[in-house]
Amino acid sequence: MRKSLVLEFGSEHPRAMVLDDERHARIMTGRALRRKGFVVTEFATVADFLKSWKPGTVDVIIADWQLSADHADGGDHVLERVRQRDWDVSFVLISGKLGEAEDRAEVLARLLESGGARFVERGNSGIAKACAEAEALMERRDLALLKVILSLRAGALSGATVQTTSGEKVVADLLEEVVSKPSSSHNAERPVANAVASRRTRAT
Amino acid sequence: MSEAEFTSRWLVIGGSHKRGVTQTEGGRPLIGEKGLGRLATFALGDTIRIESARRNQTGFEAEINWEALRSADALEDYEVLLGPKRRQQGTLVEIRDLSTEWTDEHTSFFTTHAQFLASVPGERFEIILDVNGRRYPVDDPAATLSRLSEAEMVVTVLSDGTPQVDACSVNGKDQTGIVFRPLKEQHKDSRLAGLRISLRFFRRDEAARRLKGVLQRNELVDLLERYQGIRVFRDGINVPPYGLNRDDWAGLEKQRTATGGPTMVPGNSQITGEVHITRSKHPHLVITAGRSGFADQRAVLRMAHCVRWAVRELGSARRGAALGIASGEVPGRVDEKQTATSDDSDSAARAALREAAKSAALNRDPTLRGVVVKATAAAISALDQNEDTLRLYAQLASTGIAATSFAHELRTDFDVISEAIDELKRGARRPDKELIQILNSSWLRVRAFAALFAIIPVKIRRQRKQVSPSEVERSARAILALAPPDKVGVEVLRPTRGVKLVPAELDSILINLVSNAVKAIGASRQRDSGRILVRFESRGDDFGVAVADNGCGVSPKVAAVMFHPLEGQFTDGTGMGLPIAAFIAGRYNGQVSVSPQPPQGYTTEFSAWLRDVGE
Repeated sequence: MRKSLVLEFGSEHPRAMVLDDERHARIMTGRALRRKGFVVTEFATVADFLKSWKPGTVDVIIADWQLSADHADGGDHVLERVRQRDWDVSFVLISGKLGEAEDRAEVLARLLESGGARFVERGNSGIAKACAEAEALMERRDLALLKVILSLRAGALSGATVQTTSGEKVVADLLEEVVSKPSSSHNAERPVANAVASRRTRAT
Repeated sequence: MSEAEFTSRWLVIGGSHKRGVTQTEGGRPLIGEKGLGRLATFALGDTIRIESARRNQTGFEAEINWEALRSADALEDYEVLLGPKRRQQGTLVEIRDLSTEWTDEHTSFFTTHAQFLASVPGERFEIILDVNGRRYPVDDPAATLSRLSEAEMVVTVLSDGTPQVDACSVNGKDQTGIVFRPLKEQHKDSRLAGLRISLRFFRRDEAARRLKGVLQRNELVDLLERYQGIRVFRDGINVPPYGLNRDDWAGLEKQRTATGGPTMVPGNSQITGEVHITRSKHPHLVITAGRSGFADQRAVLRMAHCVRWAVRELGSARRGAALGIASGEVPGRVDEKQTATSDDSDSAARAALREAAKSAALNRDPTLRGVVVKATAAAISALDQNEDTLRLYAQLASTGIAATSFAHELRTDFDVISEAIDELKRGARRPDKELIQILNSSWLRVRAFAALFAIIPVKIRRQRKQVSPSEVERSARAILALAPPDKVGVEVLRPTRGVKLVPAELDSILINLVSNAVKAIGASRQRDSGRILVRFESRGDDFGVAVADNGCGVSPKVAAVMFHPLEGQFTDGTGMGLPIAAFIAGRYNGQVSVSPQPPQGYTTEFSAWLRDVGE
């Protein structure tokens, strides 16, 4: 793993989810990420992925584009659904078919709108490239926000609750609030930085 | 312009007739908002004289002396000489007392820019440039483009987003009377209201002929780029509407962020058109659009749909013109007629030669007989050569189809292999079972694909030969290895007897039918539990090849066109698979068809029957 990420995460391990219906590709992507020090969970279907994924609990998602015959199950649609609840997680879309698809432009536009996403084409060390892109995207996250996320993550994963001035709250909900899309417009290059900035403004 | 317009636009510095409007309908900020551009004339010379008149109105004449204006105590002290002047419609701008010596370079620069300014699609300007009493020609770029084009279409988008064909002509003949198919409802966008799309088909050879070789391809591109302010893509049938090459995803994002938002072509919000120039066998296609930008990416996508629709409809108009149809419905393609004519002429030539050989006059005259024998041999050789060429093309196309059909499937395997090798290289401990199994499996798929290319060149020999049932089965199994083994189960029912045919042709039929089956399964809900059944049947001397799958099936719409070249339902196909299979079957006086009743548990079955191939 890159030194900067090791420093940022300290004793924690970054978490990744791999969503690919091709078994071999899924396994090899998972192995490559684990070798780098990630804690990886693999999924073959969108339904399984959505069942397990919670906002803020994952640092990067690597997803195939064509996950089933159903167009709504495309990796770009998964990204759209992820972004509705998590504006922080890095997302890498990987595909061998997208280059030949007619609706390619729409998929790329969707990625653009979502921000914090990259596209990697299969066929030329695509898995290694996807992992490198994942690290590159993670390096651009806001450090202050990452510290908050990491402090809440363990509790969110274990289903813990916490006492706040406004009563008892589920940690997972607090984490979701932290990573949710800011109301103001964002800079696609650094969405998280703006999210923090807008919160600070509101607080003062 | 009128005198009032001149007063409000020219004599109010910093004013603009556009004031109050900050954006175009598409959302792009207007240029020229500052209203200072006219002051640039004093960089050229001290005195500017303007005469102008609207149609059927009395004109005016005005003179401004910049030197006097500069030396005036206050701006209000300077008086512009303004008065009525009878003249024809149009505007004359005369600049005198030039500040530098006028050279040919200045003239050339001026001419180029004048031509650019006059190149608004659909508008017509006439510019005359006169320097020191000498007149310089300023070409009308629209006229130049029209001279080169074979077919033209002008489309305007109505307020509800529906495109309307305003003009359409092919080789100068009006084709607006044909039935244009409607644009899909989901592709209509009211934000495109007022957009004008001007399309032209060019033929490179024709353009070169008409201009006697003066205007070559690159010059044509330069011409279009300069005059129309548009971007040119070569061989770009499927270019993305962003105007970027291939997968320049990073470039797109960079440009987008650098320019503060998506535009039709990142980096230049003025460029809204796109040009496609197709491969050499097809006509050049040029698309130009107006010069208003869009800040909304979705509007750009909708515009691309609109442009594609217009391209298709201009194609229909061209087909109509080729078939002599100027009104009503235009059939899907013209190739049927062309093919029929070509086949007819081949058969007619053979029949005529046979008749000639029987002629009594020939027997009486040995010299004449010699001439006819020679001519017969030459003609038959030419006809056979033609068939051989077609056959070779079919083979090569099959190989190409296999490549395009399976290339993306193999990309994953290449990635898996390279990742596994990388892991093996850096791994200190012995590789585990999982890694070896994955490596083996992916490697086998790549090898199966490579094996196909090893088979085809060997079998490309053109002689018919005896093929045993086991050889037929082996061929089928080699081709079926291309289907992803973890997702598609395959079954082959071995033929009961051998056949006599060109093995490569049987392979070609199998490749195309199996390739279709794999794609149909990939596009269905059974993509992870697909099944393909290949079976062979003999009826007398006839031989049938049937490929069944449990994929997405064939809709009536697809069934109507699937044997036509370049048609089909799969985006990752070439649209040539079934036409080639049908072509080869036709060579054996057979045909390819969809079975009305596929075997139990399968959704579709294609059958190819080859006649008289018994051992």
